[in-house]
Amino acid sequence: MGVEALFLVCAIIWIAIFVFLFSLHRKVDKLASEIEKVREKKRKK
Amino acid sequence: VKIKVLLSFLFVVMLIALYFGLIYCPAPEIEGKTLDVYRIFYLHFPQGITCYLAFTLTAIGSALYLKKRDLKWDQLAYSSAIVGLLFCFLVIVTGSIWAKEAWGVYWHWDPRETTTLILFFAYLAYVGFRASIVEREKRARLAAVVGILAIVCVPLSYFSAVYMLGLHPSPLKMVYRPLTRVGMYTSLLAFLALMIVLIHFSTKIEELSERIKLILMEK
Repeated sequence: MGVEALFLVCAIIWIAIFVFLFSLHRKVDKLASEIEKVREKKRKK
Repeated sequence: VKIKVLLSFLFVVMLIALYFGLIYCPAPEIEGKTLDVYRIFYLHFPQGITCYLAFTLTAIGSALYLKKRDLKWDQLAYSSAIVGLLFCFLVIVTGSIWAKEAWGVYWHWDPRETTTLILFFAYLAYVGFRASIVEREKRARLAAVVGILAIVCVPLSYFSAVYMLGLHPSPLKMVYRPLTRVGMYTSLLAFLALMIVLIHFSTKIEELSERIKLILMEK
């Protein structure tokens, strides 16, 4: 495999890793806001 | 917002680093030879530096926890140890691939290889030790001591290639061509950004899991 083909393979792998990181970022944010909601509800009770 | 900016920066700089390392920059010249497989050096070098840096952050976080008794420093220490372990594993793998081409074997028990393996196991022990203690404050206090002691392995690994006789070239004696340097430092920048992003996520996830535990305990 030539270096150009290797570059394409690596770039695709990197994009897949990045999509995972970005979705992780969104999920973590969502989970944090849901935890806050639960804590708020508990405080009110 | 800050993390989104960092994520965008990371995405672009990693693609540039890949382009530089695989296409734009020449393969690094190591011990008089220039082979395409040596391009793995563009991964191996930044992974090594980020691994050392992450473990240094573990020691700093541990020391700050012992001084201030704020659990956020303990979380930073733990997260950087996890990220450091990941990079340490990658540096061992990329090093072995390079060793196969340069020395003819994947593993030679060279001083640098051996001390890096010791470094890996030292921080694996740190993570295992933390997992064995349930009480949060006690875990943070004792793990901080281990986190500070384990930092000894970082200079041991780095200077093993400088002062001990072995096959690994000394990082202080290596001479790089200007374009090779461009590739190396771009790649280092990309891996530093990746390290910060990973430590951020790891810290955040750890913090959230502690909050969930607190909510469950309140029930």
